[in-house]
Amino acid sequence: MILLGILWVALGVYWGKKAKSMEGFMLAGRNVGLAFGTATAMATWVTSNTTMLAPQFALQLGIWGMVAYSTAAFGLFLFAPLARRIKDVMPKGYTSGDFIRLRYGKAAWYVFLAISIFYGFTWLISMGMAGGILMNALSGIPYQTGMTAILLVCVLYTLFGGLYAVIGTDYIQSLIIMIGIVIVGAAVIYSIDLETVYTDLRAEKPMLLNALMPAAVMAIFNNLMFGIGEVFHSNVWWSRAFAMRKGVGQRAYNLAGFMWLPVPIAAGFIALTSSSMGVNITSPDMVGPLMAGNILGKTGAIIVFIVFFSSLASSIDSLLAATADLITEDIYKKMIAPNIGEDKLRKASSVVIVGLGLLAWLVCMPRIGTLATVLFFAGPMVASTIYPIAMGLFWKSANARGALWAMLLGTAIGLIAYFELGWYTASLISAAVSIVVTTAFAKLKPANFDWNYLDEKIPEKPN
Amino acid sequence: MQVLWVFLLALMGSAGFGQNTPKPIFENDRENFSNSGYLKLSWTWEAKAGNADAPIFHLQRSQDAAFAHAKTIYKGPDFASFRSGLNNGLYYYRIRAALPDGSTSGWSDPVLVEVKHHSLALTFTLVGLGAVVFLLTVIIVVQGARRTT
Repeated sequence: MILLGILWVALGVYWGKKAKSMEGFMLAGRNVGLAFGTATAMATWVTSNTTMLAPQFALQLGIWGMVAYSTAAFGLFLFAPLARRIKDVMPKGYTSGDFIRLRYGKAAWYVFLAISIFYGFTWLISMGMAGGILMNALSGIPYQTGMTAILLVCVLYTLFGGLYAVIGTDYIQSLIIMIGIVIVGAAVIYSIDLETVYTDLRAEKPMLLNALMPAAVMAIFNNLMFGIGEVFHSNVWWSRAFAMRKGVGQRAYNLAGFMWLPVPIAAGFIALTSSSMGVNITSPDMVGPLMAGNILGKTGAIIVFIVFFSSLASSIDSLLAATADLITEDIYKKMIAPNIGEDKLRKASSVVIVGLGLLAWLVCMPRIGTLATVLFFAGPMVASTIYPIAMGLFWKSANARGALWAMLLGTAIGLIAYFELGWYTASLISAAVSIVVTTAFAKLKPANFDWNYLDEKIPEKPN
Repeated sequence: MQVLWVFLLALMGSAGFGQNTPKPIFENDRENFSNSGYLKLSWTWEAKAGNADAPIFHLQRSQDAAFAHAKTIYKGPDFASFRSGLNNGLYYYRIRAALPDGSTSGWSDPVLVEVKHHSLALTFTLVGLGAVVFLLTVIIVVQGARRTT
């Protein structure tokens, strides 16, 4: 862990030298090519949510759980055309918040920022927790120590290198993840008897093999809509769309989606072997690293650790950078200090990165809930933003009131579903409400938006 | 005579008759409900003063309250066990602690887990809704991209 930590921080410092301006620090000079673009999108999407939550899905929801998790690839596929559109209409844009403010005005912008920052923070917490759980499961290091170490490393290299460092390290991390998952997958296949796994599952956990397991079947479209909501609204993906060269975004997101699609199946399958291996699972979010460590032994555990550490780091850095951009650009610069100079803005960005890391560390300390319960609580919120974003980019008739009510009602009704039906229904319900509300307002009170207002060279858009 | 009784009781305890080893206590409610077929069972156990031996827990599951057809589903030192993939039905769980000296506690008070999965009507309604919402999302994005290219 120390060696990997030093490597990432050193690379952060090295790449940080390229970030001479604020645009370089936040958007890597808007010059990212196809290879780095694909790798950063893929590596960022292979988060703790894939390497640790996909096995949790498999353990809780069985075969359909793994399939449900892999549907999140559609978030990347459907964002591909959006990435091109974003680059076309906002060539000088910085954040997803910029789009909502220019497209829908301030009321919708405030709600969007609240949702987006809450989600970013929830994701950050889930990954800080995952870091602690990972260390604890593989090496017995106390949860608090592991969590602190991984957050510290990621804060340091993001602080030094900005998006240059994030994308550069993502490239290396994506290679490690791909090679590691192939090694782990092959080792698992060779060391277990699939027939025994099937027989044991039938005897001990029959519903995991049931094609009509209700919660699992419900989770398919719920996870699909959650994935789309995550990608469509989050500044993690928008900042990459802004950072990629013109013409690169669409291909990069499509390629990343195809590369990511099988990863949850490969990572999730391992959880189904727990009964056959006689491993007791004390917390469902520990099942991935615990089983990998058990099956592969000590050497395997080191490989698994490197893969999981890389997948965590590649997402934590992206989140730190993108959420810091959102807070610095949308809140500090736009609301508090509009005339601030570039140097001071960069300092503010550094303070925000450290502050976010510190806050995440404090919230991670008591280990609240499992990874799924923490992350999926934000599901209805992000799913409610899908249509304000998608229709806002393509429909002139989409309007501010529709966007505002879609986010408010989608979130509220989605959260009711979260508590009344289960976390595996909340994002879908929210998306359904959001599409109805956004469409109804666009049809009943159509706006006639001029796309030129999205280019910030034109000063003000009356909405 | 009294000395003999004390000696016999001590012998029973050390031979595993469960008189002295404290019982584990479930942290779960006595009655639990799951509509997704999974739940986490966790328990606490306090050692007797002066005894630092780590216990091995025996967790049993039965579908009848009398544990007539009980099955040991976990034997080990952990203080929790995550169970998943359960069919509809009633499941009773109980646990006891065994120490390296051979003594065992009595069985804990059982906890009941009722598993009743969501109805298929609700499931298919949500799947239908999901398919429609997803299809419309694809149409919005693909049509929009074509129109603006």
